Amino acid sequence: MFENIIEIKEIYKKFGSQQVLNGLSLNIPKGLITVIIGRSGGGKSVLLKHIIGLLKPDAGQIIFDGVDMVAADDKTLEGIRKRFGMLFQEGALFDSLNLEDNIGFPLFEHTKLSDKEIYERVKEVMAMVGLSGAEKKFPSEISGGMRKRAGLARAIISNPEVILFDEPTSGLDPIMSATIDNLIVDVQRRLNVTCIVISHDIKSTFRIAHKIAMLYEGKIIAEGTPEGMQNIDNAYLKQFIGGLTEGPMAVEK
Amino acid sequence: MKKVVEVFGKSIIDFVSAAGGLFNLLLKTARWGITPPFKFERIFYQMEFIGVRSLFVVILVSTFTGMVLALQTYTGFRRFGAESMMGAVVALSLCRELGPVLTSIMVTARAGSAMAAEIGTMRVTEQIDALFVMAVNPIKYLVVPRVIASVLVVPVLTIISDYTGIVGGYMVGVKLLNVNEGVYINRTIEILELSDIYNGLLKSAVFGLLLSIIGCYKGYYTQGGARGVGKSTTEAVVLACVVIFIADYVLTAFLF
Repeated sequence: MFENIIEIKEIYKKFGSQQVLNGLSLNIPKGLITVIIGRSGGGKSVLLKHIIGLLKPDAGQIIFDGVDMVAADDKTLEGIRKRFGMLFQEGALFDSLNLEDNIGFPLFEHTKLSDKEIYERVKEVMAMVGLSGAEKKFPSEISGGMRKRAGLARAIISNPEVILFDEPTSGLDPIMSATIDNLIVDVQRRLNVTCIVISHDIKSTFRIAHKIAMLYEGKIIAEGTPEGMQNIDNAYLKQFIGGLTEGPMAVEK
Repeated sequence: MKKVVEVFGKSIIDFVSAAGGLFNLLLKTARWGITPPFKFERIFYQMEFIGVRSLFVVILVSTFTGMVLALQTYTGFRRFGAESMMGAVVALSLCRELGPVLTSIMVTARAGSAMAAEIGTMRVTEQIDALFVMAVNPIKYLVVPRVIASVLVVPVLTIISDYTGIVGGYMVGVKLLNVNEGVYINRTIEILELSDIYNGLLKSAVFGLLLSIIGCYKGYYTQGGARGVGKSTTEAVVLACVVIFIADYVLTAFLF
């Protein structure tokens, strides 16, 4: 079996009266792409925010590389965060900065590299995600797909060990979705990083995943390899993968 | 009856939690403000935005305030033959009261609202989360430079506002209403003390702190998309103005 870089053990989280995570456990294998699927508003983003320490669970443990992130102090957490990169749903680029300053931002903040070295590195990662020539553009001047690619470039520039993707293909046309998928696979292979993707895009999930986990009602109800998942006999999973309105999951009116 | 208690209680709770939140943010800002590394260019950038770009509107408002003040005091003072005191009254009112308050209100309208809107937009588009994820503290990055810049720049604007207000008053008093120039100026210098000016500047520094921390607070805790940003911006301006007027009374009553 693979070595796990992150182990999530029995985490619970409640917002008001709503139990969003309900004893969720999940292992993230190192150096592979894990895709977490589930319905919109089902707690996937909340889970992702727990993994990176933006939210703390009410109970349970999240172990990253041997360190319990729930019990860790701010300083340790800050150190751990530098080993993460994250691609936000809308890119979350700073709209006051142009693309090269946006993408170079983590290096400007955390390294003593000269401006020249940073911009060279920015050029490199921008070429990797296919954004060469857009250095001076501002986030408001580019398309959604470009913003996601710029977000990805910013996520990988500091050589993180883990990259988180918050619905990388939502809101994109099928061709751009496929491009982003290829980019994720390509980046993962080239940099040998661990990727955690949350998605409800089934097509894209099967294109990129080494491991798939399905989140439902605050728990992981099924996990396995893409081939394995198709053979699991679980009514919820079948309904979700098949995109059916008939099944155990109710369609909200 | 129950309803009344409920509404009353809720507004008390809201007030206390807002005050607590503001104070908490103030403490965090102070702590991050003294934690290295220091990035002065962010403070300079904010000083330019808050200060330099407010200059025109501050000059405009204070000139007209000085002018109308001269006009009004003239009307009143002429009834008991005290026109000679006009210059002093105009200068005193401006330095002690109107300069600091009007400047702070104009800066609130221009820059305090912009702080709430900009930080609020960053909150709802996950840019603040992105800062956290990149291990950059958002309070240090966003709030500290704005607060420091505001505390430094509002007094400077107030000096300019005092000056242009006095010039405006002089123009109306001496040139338009033909009060004797020598009397007008001599009485002003005789009666106005340096402490009047200092006190006004001290007040304006406090107002600068209040308007920036409120703008940042409302922006930082924005919820709920574009509508939330609009709500935060409005609340920031209203709250900051009210707090400035209250603080003005308290400071004037107890300190000066």
